[in-house]
Amino acid sequence: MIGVFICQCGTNISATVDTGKVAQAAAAMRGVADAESIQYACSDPGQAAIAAAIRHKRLDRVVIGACSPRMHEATFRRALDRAGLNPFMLEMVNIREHCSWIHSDVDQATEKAAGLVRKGIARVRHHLPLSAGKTAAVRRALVVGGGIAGIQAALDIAAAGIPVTLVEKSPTIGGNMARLDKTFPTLDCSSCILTPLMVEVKQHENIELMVNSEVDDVHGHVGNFEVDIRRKATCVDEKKCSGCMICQEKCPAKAPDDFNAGMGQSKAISVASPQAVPLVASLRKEHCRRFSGGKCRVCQKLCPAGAVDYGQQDEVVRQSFGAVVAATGYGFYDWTGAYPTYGMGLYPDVITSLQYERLLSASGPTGGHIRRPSDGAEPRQVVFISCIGSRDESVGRPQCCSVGCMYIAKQAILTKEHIPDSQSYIFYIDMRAGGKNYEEFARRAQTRYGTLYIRGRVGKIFPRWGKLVVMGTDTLVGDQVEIEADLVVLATGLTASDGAGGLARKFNISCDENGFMAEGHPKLKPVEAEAAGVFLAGACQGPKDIPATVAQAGAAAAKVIGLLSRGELETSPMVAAVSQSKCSGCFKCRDVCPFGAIEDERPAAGRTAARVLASLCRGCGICSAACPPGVISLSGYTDKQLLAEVVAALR
Amino acid sequence: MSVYSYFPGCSLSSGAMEFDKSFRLVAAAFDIGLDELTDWNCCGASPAPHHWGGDLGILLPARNLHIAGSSHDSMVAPCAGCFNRLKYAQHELAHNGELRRRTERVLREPVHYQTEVLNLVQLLNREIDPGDLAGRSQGRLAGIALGTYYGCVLVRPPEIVRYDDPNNPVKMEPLLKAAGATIPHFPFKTECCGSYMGLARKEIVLQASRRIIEVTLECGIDALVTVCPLCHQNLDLRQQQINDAFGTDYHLPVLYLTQAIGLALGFSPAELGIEAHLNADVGHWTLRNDDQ
Repeated sequence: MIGVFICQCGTNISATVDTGKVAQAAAAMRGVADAESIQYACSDPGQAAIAAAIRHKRLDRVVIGACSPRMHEATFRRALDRAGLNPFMLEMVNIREHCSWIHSDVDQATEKAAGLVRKGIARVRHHLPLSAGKTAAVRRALVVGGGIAGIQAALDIAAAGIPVTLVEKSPTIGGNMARLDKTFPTLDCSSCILTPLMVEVKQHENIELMVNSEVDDVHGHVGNFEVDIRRKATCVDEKKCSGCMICQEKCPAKAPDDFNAGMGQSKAISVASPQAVPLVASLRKEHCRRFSGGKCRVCQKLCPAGAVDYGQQDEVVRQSFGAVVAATGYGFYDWTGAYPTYGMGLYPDVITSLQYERLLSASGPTGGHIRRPSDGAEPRQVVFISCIGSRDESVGRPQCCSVGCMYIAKQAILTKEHIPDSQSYIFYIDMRAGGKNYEEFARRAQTRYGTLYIRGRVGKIFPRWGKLVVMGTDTLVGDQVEIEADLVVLATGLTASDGAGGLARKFNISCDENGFMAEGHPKLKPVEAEAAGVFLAGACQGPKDIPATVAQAGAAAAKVIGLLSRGELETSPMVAAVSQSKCSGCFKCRDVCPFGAIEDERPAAGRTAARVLASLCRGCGICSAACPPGVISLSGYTDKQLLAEVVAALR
Repeated sequence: MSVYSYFPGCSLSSGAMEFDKSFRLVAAAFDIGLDELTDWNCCGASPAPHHWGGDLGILLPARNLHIAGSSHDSMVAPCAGCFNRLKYAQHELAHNGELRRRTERVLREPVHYQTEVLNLVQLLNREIDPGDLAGRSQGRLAGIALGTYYGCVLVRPPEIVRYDDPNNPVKMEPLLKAAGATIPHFPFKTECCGSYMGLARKEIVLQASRRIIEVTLECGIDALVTVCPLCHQNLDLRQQQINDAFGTDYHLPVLYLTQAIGLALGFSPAELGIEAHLNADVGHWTLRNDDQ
């Protein structure tokens, strides 16, 4: 006895599909005991109506024509379960995304919907009751990325008593937030609010911190990810190094200062910053004299702890995790190639906003005094240009960076506080100040700090008489403007961080067209990746500011805690099974299985046959299609079910 | 020897005869055959077609394309304005069947519009081996800083001319470097010279061109190099007007690309027609080497 329920989804479906007609057509099919059109099948009354029909009409299988199963299959399975039916006796037919939303002709859409439902009815006839299994979940979480997102997620998970491994590729945690001077809109000192959290990560009994480390390889699935983590050789024994920085002081080889975004210089062996956690030196071989053929061993000789070891090798550690949080953060758009009219990096006094942040910071290369790079002079006229590599289709980047308007306003305010007789100008497109207290803050930049906002883009920056001329348009006045600047700050947009794409592939996380990791659903699954057991925190999912990042990291942590607190996970019963008596033992299935879920077994002497490890099988069906004698069957997707569907579709 | 259909246009036959003269010298030096179009007409860049409206701005270049295409696979238009109009017509004829039919009614035969249209930089980059040029230039331009000034119509609109980077064109650089000159960073490569506003609103041209000259000197450049006769006119011919208007004292030589290459090859400023320019003080560049 089949029950068919056609959801109107308000007008989402009913505007294009005549749901009454579809129900009528279904009612005429063999075995259909009940067919009705429901306003909102997923609502409480909708689910109650389905449950009532199951009881009163003794339905033993149900077809629901509604939205995508990705949306509500789980909802309706629970409804069947509550009504006393096996939850897998459900077939969902997508007449919304696959039909009503993409068509406009009512008659044709109705006919198509009826056809799709007909397929579903033909298929549900062959459904069998299935039951979900259970598998133990490893009670340990992996957090990849040690910026504020990863720090917050790790602390929240650890606070729930679940052990965490935090993997960070650079020598210190803290990420980009550690490089900021102050934060909008409160002008909190960034390191003052971040450093205590960094230290807490280091000290937390439930957190294992691995810096200079990257995810090499991933096997397994939700509940049991087996992850190879590569600890990169830094030539410094982390356990012995005390962070005294004598090595850095005495090292004769200069090297770019990554922490200071290229402002100032560092050494080949260095501690990333005075607030680094862990406070440990690391050596960059590409800049070291010893590794470029020289004989220098100054750092090794002078290290009081004997921590320098030139022979150190990369080490790969394998660990198991029940869940993963990706918190790989963001990078900054490289403007030099895309904006040739801004000097391609040839003018030393055209810098990025992150570089300016380091000039503002007391821990930066100028000790918090604003000195322009070319001659060390204090600038009087500072021009900020917003939307560099954001909202600019001419460089293929239409997206908004979502933080630029605010951080420029902040930097303009700080400029005035550092140099009271300075004048800041901001070229902007629109003022985007949507967060709490943001608009007031940006307004203050204009009213109290005298920042001049010019609405328009900058066409060109060129040198004239020792100054940089910023030439642009004031679109409100409708005229060209030229400003003679001492320093130009480019508000570069945010990109996915380097290496985020590689990590995404390893964990089967999909990425959007801008390289940011894709959430499961833009509204309802904002922290879940599509791959089960993988969660997203912070700017790896899209540009966002610190409050939003911290909130998302907390949400991701809550999901991890929810997943791992039960100790075991339900597994899908839709897995493959081999009819071993008919198996010829060719093991084509093992060759094609992407999850390593097939092993060989000796059911009888002198004979091997394939066996599916249900805990590893993801139900993709590749083995079933590849099996030459056709003796592998996928529950829920048996040949009978698929053929019935095809026959009904072709009728 | 490869032979190209050569479209001189009005400038190279009148106001910029020295461009034609130097081009023919350089072409001969590198064995590039030039076969001037017979009975060519206005390229369509003159104000008349713009103001007349209708199809004239396409029909004029279409006829030139047609003449060149009837006998050659490739044509060269050294004037950036002519190049732009030819590319424009080619683009329109390829994408607008109705316009193509109207054109054919005027021509009274199927239009040949697909002949390859090359600008001067393109042609020289194709035909001149930089090593060969470097060898023949014998360091004559050593120590001379040249600013590559592309102007607008050589590279814009990019979807039509499809040549070089519209914001930062670089294709002249390899030739001039091979000729021995140094090419400093020059941010005003495509800055507007004022174009034909010289007729209606001269002050706009004077301001725009003054700024180009100012930045050129700021960049330590000895001379500008261009392939556009209109830019040349605004920057060279009007330089005294600029000096009069702003009280400046500029004497910046502005050369055609073929004149710069010609100097490197050892031709005299007189042979290259540089003496026809108002700011022509380049004689001492090459004498220095030839004296040695």
